Amino acid sequence: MIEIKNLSKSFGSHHVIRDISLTINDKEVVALIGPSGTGKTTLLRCINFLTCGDKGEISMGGLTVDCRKHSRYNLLNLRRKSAMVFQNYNLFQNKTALQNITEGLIYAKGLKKPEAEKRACVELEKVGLADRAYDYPHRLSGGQQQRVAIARAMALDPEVILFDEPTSALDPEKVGEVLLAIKRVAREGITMIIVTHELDFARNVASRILFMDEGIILEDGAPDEVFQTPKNERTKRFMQNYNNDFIYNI
Amino acid sequence: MAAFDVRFFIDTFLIALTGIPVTLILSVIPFLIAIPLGIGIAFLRLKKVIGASQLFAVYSSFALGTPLIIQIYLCYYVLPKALAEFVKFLGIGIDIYAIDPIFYALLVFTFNTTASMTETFRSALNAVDQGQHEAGLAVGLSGFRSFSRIVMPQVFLIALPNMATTAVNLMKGTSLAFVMAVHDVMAKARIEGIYSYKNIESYLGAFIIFFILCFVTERLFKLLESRLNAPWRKGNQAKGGEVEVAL
Repeated sequence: MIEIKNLSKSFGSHHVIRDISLTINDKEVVALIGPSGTGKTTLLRCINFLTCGDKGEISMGGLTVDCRKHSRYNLLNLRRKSAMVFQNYNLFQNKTALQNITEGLIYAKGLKKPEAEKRACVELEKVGLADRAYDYPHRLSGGQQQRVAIARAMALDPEVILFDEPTSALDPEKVGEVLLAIKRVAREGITMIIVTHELDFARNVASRILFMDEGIILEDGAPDEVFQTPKNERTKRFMQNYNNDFIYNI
Repeated sequence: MAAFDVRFFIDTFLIALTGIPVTLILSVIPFLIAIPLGIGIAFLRLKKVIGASQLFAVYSSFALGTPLIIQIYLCYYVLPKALAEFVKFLGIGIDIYAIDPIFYALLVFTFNTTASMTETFRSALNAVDQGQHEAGLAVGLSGFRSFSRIVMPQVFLIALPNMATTAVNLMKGTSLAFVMAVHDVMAKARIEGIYSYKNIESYLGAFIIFFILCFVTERLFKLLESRLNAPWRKGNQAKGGEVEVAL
């Protein structure tokens, strides 16, 4: 279970997150949607402290970390309970696909190298890239890199996987393969928080949708609820654009 | 003008050769000290540590924005005097003027090279995507591990060509150490030239030795680069499929 309590974050005078409290249960797949620049990514990054909130608390798997006073040790442990998939993949450029996965297994989880490699191969197999295990990231396409990143996150066996716009940097052709990989992760029953602009995907894969605007969570509910009968005015407007089928006359 | 004295040229060349150890000491030691110092200072400047960042910015512009020869003169003439006054003030009976001038030479070359190295690493650290470090943290590596295993290998490879330039510049710069009465290649050749009035023969010898030293240094760095040259760099042929996938 992940608990966010009274989280706030501002960059200068710009309040990105305004006092958000949120509980996410085990095995929930949460899609975080909303307009650009409303703090979705910041919220995600606050959960594993890549961005440190100004105030508030994050709890995960029995560990509570206060934004205002946290030790290096607590941060490390919190990060070891989570994994993240980034918008621009962020695979370790100096490591092969396989090493990208074993790195965390060996140095964070303390696995022996052969064990770690075995585990990594299993995960690569799952995302369909077993044959690219010894390729370096620059030899892989964007979609393949992101699938390796997903395998890297999965291998860590985390309490939660945080997805930060995992398909935004991909061309439309490659989006499908990555979404498919994420869907597979969802089926394994791992808690996930996905920041995405792929609304169809969000609706399809998520068990819960959060709609965020101006640093506040405006809507929180099951996909059909949020997409079809939103309560908040702002959400209604946002969904209108999505639900409308545009007809272009040329 | 007398004809080129081949015999004398060979003799002074051999004498100048005996200065190579000193030239190497003056090049290698400051270079090796400058690497960790440069990384440290570059880090402080990029992190914008208040105080340190500004201090080292001023340091860099002093060290890189003034002629080396002036730095040498200042270090050689001002520092001993200041130290002597200081020692006198403390009342310790150390004779500052008995210190081998090579220490002042090492000091000034380290001072200068560290500044170049700082700039080298500053740009190399900037060139590595911040996301690499974040990804390291996100998979649960400690800050230090992520930095040393993920970021630094990439930084070093980017910094290597500039490090080679710095090394060659340093080596060339050590030829100015003769003004501090340090007997390197240049000083030995110069002494022979002055006493014999055969300047061409003596300086030609020093010229050749420095050319060879710098050439070898450059080659060594090239070699190092190709050795380190990981298949992970863009444009390099990756050696994929060399190892069987162990499933």
